Amino acid sequence: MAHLDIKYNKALSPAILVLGLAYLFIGFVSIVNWCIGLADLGQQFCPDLIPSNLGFALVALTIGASLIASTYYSLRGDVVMHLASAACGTWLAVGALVIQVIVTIALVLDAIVVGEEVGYSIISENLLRMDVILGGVILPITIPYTLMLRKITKQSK
Amino acid sequence: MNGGKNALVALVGIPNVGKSLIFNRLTGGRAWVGNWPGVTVEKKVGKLKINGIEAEVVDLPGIYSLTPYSVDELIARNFIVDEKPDVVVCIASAVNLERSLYLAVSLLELGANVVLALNMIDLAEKEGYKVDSKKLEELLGIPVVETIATTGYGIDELKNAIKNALQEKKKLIHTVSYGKEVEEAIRKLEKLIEELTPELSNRYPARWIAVKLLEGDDDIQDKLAELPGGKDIVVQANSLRNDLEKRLADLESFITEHRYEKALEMARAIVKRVVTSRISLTDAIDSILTHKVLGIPFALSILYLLFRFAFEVSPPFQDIIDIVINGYLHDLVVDSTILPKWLASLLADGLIAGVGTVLVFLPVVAFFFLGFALLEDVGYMARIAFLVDKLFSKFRLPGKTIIPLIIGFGCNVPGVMATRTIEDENDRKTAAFIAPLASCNARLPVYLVIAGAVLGHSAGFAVLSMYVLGIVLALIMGFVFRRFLFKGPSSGFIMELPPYMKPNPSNIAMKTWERTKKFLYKAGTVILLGVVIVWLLSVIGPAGYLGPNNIEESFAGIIGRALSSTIFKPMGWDWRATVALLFGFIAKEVVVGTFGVLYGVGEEEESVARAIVEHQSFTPLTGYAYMAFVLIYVPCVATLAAIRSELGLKYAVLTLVYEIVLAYVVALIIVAGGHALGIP
Repeated sequence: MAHLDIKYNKALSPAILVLGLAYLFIGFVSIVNWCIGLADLGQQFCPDLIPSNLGFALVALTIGASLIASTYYSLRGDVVMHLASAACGTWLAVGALVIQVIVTIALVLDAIVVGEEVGYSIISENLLRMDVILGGVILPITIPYTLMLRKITKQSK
Repeated sequence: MNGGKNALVALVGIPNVGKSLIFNRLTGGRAWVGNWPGVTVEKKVGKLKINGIEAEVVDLPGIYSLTPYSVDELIARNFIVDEKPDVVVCIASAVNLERSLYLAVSLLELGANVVLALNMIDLAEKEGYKVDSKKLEELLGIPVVETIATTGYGIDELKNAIKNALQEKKKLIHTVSYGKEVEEAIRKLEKLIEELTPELSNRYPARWIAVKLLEGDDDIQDKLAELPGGKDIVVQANSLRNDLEKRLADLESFITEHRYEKALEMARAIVKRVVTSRISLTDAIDSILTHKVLGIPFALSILYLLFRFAFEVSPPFQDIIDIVINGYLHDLVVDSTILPKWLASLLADGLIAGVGTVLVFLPVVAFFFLGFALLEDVGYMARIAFLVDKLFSKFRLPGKTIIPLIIGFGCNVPGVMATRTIEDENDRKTAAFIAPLASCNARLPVYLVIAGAVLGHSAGFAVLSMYVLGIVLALIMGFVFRRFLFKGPSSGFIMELPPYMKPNPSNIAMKTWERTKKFLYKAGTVILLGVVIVWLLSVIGPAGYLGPNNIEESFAGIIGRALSSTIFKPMGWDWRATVALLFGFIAKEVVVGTFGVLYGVGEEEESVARAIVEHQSFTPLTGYAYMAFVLIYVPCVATLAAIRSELGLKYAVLTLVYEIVLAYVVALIIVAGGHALGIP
């Protein structure tokens, strides 16, 4: 089982690095979009996919930093920090995904309550965002990292 | 205890030990909440029924010792000493046994009839420890019951132990020996106390009074000094203490160390490490969540998500309330042909609008407390406080102050209410005082309209600067209040963090309901009153009743003109701006709407901004000063009601006054400073 975990880990580590870089990138673009909006400098970069919102940017940068840190600890051979960092980063990403889905449901409900048309745009604008897309990608990775972290903290006893 | 009826049971334990959960398990969650007399520390009382015996269960504040370093510790001690509960259930943490046993030893010294609930036994086992509860029972000489509050394990046994303890006579047990010299001094004082103040030694164990006097306990000294013969005892105790301190250094520390050694000795005797542990799951997660670089971004991200959950999930529920109250009910009254116009307006625009204002806040508050209780139950809130504790301690504030401030960015009402998680009363009052300085969502439209109208390309930075100004002022005012108004030691650094635990749905639901209910009941009354007063000012003028569309001629308009030509003259704001400030007292969102009505352009933000430019109501400097004033002055009526509910009317009035004065001073400094720098 331990060998299997190591295999999983070796396979997942590059994915964690790529996802970490992706989150850092969208966090950075979100800040740029926010600055463009603030100073009225013109067209933002993919505003539908990457909202110009400092909170969104903060969450994306934190997830990115955590996943990159996970790779750094992996290279240093610190397995516990590697797994903890990856687990915390993926949990935050899943948390952001879940909140966005709940917010979308609330928006649909709100439209029904105020008697507006529940158009596809409500769903597309709120679910076709990078936090939802990347969150969906990261969701299956969260499970093995959580299990590996639980296992290694038990094994270290 | 009166024949087994009306017995009194007190629950006591260190913070984060699972005391509230055990309280809920014992009482079935049925509790009534009030405040301890004279302070704003929450008092929770419930009923416990065990085989025909009925007992009142009182949940005492979480404390580490019975030495009154904080209001909570004084409350707990005075309750045990004065109310003499029939049984004191000391809830101990199996994963933090030394501190819990220190408290148990202190309770036994006080002569309390103690039952020890050894909680979190499952977590101790997960950490690789085996705790021998039978041996602990022998060592302490009191019943010890293993419990797991989250699952309910051991609760029936605990109820039986309480029942047995209620039926047995309590025994006074001495567990700590303080060494030959100190014991001799204790004996001398004990004898003197029994001889000179029998009325006191009948109420408190003489040995305990003697130990407290040697520790230099001010509260006990004061109580003794009031009694005939008591002063002689205090003099004798001081003399003995001085003598002993020449040989043993600080006597209070000496006694504390002995008590702690006793607790440690017992903990070592009963705890066995069955597996060698290098790192636990909690430690692994904490290595990231309390990391010096990653910790703060994680905390801010999690709070941001909590904030989104509360504010973006509540709109459908807010709209339902709005449609029912401000729509159907409002229209029903307005369309009524039976009611006279003034009464219909009072009911529709005053009372119904007031009720609407309260209830529209309700979903936000409830969702916020739901998310907050979840994070609290998991154990994460303590980590956030830990992360900022070092920075905040420089301003004499505990780390937990960050929570109301961050929450306040969304809405000041839950921000103020979140202060109740701060244990120390002085720290809590200070936090509630400064929480409204966090720039809430409702202020943002005002910044956007004014900055957009008069600050051009600097608008974004001007808006951002309001958020920074709010936090800087909160820290400065926190320091000032802590230094001069709410003096006393701070609860200080957090010594240890509770382990992460699975959230308990019933506990979360109960916490959410209790907090939301309190907001609804108490805040509602004051908000209603405030709204009715403002309504009266806006519809009545010297000519009598004017209706809702003649604000200029109303008392509100007259007051606005009078203020803009006197007090606010240095700021250069016109009467419309001043009237808008008056209406902003109801809710900050109303400021933009009032501008719209006064300019006759409706409530659209863009139209209001255009009207401000056309009427040249502000220069960039006076506009910026106005934004700062809106940030700082009177929190809205709902926030004020929340402060009243948390701290009382006196402090709500004090908040009102200090924030108006501070807003005025800051706005004046901005205008005067700008003029001095040559800015028109």
